[in-house]
Amino acid sequence: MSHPVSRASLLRGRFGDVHEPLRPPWARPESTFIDTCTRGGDCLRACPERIIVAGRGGFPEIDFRRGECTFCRACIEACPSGALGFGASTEPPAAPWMVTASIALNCLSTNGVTCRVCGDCCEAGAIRFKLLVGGSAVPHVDDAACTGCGACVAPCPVGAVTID
Amino acid sequence: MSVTRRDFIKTNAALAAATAAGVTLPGIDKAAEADDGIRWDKGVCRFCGTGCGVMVGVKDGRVVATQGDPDAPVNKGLNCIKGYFLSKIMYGKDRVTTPLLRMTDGKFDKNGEFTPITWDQAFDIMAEKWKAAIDPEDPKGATRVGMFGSGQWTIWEGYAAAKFMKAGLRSNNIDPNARHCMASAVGAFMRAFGIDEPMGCYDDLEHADAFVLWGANMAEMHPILWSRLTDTRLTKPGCEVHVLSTFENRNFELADNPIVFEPQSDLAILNFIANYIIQTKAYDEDFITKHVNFNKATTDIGYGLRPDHPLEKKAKNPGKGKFHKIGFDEYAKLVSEYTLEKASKMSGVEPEKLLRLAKVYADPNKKVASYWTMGFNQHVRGVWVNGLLYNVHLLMGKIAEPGNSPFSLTGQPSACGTAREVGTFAHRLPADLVVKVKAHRAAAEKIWNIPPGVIPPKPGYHAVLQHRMLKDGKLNAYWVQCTNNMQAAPNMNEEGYPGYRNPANFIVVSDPYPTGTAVSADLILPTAMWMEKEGAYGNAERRTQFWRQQVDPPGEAKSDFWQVIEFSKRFKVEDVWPADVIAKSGHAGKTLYEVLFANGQVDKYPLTELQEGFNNTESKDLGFYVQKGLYEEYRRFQYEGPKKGHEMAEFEVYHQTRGLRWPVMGGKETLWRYREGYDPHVKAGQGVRFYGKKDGRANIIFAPYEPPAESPDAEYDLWLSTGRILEHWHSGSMTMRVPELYRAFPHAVLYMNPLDAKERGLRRGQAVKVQTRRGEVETRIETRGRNKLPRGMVFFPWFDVNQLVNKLTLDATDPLSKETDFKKCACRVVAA
Repeated sequence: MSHPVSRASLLRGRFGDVHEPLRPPWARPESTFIDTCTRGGDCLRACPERIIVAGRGGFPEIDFRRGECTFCRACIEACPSGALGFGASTEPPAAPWMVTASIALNCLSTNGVTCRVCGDCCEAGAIRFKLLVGGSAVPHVDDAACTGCGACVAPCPVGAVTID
Repeated sequence: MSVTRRDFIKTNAALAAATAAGVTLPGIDKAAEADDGIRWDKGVCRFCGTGCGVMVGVKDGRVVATQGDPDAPVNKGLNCIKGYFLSKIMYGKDRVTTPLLRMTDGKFDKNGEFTPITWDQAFDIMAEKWKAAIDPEDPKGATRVGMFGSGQWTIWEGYAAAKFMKAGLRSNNIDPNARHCMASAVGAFMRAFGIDEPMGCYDDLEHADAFVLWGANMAEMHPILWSRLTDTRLTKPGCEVHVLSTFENRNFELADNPIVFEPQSDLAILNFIANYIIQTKAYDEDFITKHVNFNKATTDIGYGLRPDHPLEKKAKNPGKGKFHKIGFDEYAKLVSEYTLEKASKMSGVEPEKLLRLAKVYADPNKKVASYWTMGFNQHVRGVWVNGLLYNVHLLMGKIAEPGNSPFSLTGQPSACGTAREVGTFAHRLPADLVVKVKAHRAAAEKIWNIPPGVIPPKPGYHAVLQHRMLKDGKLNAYWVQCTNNMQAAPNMNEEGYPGYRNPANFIVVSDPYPTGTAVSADLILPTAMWMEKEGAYGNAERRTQFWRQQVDPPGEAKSDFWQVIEFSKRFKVEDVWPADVIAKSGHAGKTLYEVLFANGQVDKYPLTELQEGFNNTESKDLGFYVQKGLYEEYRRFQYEGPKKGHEMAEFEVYHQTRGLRWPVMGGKETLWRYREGYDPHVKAGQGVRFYGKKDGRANIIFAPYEPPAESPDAEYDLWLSTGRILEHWHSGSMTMRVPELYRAFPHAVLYMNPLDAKERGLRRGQAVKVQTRRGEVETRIETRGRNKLPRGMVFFPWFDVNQLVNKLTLDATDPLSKETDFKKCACRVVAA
């Protein structure tokens, strides 16, 4: 294995690269965010999907194993510090974040086991399966269509989907 | 597959991580071959009727891994997601490990709490209740006792249960859950060919030039066969796939001719195709002259509802299955009514699509394989619609040869091998015999060494009738094994649940898990499952497959047939047979165990024949190789019974092979039946012979369109169809206990057209109530995903015990097959 796996990552089923935590949608750039966020937990409580958790240092981060982001903006509206939000602009930038889904090689379908779970729960239709000779159907993520909502993460039976 | 040391270390590291995280990774099972700690042996998947071979890995008395068996001809190493997680189905946290009786203050109480008891106590109370319900002198036999079994029973489990009921208790009130699943297919096989089960086999998936799906969601329900079909479609030039369904499902991804038709109009479409073939003179004149009889069905046959239902009173010929011989010209005239315009109008399908479909069948140079499952079978005219497809294949002579194959897919692992073949239906005996025919009963009585007159001639209560009789208090001692029928059977609110809870009845359920059915019962028996016993299944292509007991069952759990055989010790023949029958039997004073199982046949094979290194709980308890004894006695029906064509090989052969397709003669399996050169029963020079019928001819049987039992109206304005999904199997009692599968699809949802939702002010994900005249169920709306519903129709999967879909369904059946139409009733959807 090329990347060391920390004990915490191991227990969480994270085997790949160690990534920066994903902040709630429309979060300010990471350094601004860290400087601004008061760690008051308002966004955690406001999230109707309950996918915002207190991460390292008490800063909020998204945990897609709990569900998906509906981009309802409740977290932004609840944020008193401005760590979440659109900055000076009143209109949100087109994309809430730049992350998209990626599917690791341990994907069942890639390995010839019939499974379409991630594609089925993709509202944006960004995950498509290509039927192949030999019984497998390989998933492709259309990065342009993927909103990074994370709906495909929790249902994957082998934890092959990550949002990064 | 060779595994390098580096691969092995890598995979083991991943395995350690995966174990810690509670997930299973693909590929690890393969690498585990290198690990001496795991014993690998061949097995069969526990789920659908495909019959995939799986390698089962055991370590420290526990199944730790499974993988698709690369040597299995059915799946060639592939698996679906359910099969991939097979190793976890036996290890749900809530396994039942001791008999549980509803008790209050140490005594049985129908309203008491489930309390652990011993097996002895369990059989004591069962014997008391059964004996109270049996009058040995009743000329009709024991009509107040009954049993409900399963297409998931192993072959010997079904055989032992059928023998116990019919030859022991003198009751034909035994029926399998296959009644909900395959009965219409059986009815049509018998009417058209006189022998059950398909003439073709899975090899047709590679031989055909065109595939037509008639109400089979193969992509989700038979994914391995679907991947074989996909291979052929992607690699064979000119290959085309036609998909017919009442809503768009995953098969449509591959469809060259996608057809969504109005429910029930398949009857019209098939008659149109027959008409097209005749009008264009495309039919195979030589074939129909030599091998086919033309007939027409009795019409206006009702809907299998209770006799006092207005629809039954209105029907002219309720339940009548008789058909009458006619000539080709009359047949041609009858189908001529079904023009392209009419079929298009009735089905709502564009004429070009129907024409393209008809042309595929009518093209003598295209080999066509047709597949169906519940779309045809769960149909108030299921036997008819199965038959109408045979009509099309027979007109063209496109049958019983490689690639030309009307093929009924099964939903359960042994709907064929057990439910259909060993006589677990209320009207059947082993090897295609039926209780109605005196010669068949006599043959069974002779093989079983029981006196003439023990087996009652009248068919017993079928599945749906059993629930009605329980409710009416006419069926009082009732045993359910290996199936979750409270959740699975139709109209639970009005029939099933009131029947189980009727104070006049004592209900016993054998199951590994506390299912909805188990907790509705009075006594729950803990049951060994799948690899906890030596077993055998027969799949949809007539392939019989065996496995050895890989692990021991937990706690006090015992297999279904151990339970039946032990219970038989509680009866003396005097408890169940009339005095005059006993007098001629030579069995006076014996127990049913001695008469049925320790009879010199079933107990013929000593324990020394058991395979070293594997346990066999039942045999060791009983003192003889019981699986072999039951199987070899059953095999006598195939060789000594009045019907030929069902021969199987000796017991040991199946432990050494990856299954064989019957008839097996001289060690050789049969791929295509009724065809010279393939089927040993067809003599040289005969070419084709449908030997199930005395004159060797198959029946083309005309049947018209008749409407469904219940259609949408102003009050209940939507069609409701139920069904399965890929991730869960049937009622979910196994797959919902596998964490990965649960996560993949945790709750049932109602698939709906987005415009239908919008029109009702509903949005995706919203909580709604689905209501019918029978009940209501809460769920959430899904307007996207794998199923795209047409306007006016919703689809509601039934796997979720928290959303009991069968509170909604109507118990209208095909009056001939008695199989419920789970695909058509009327509902409405409102905000919760």
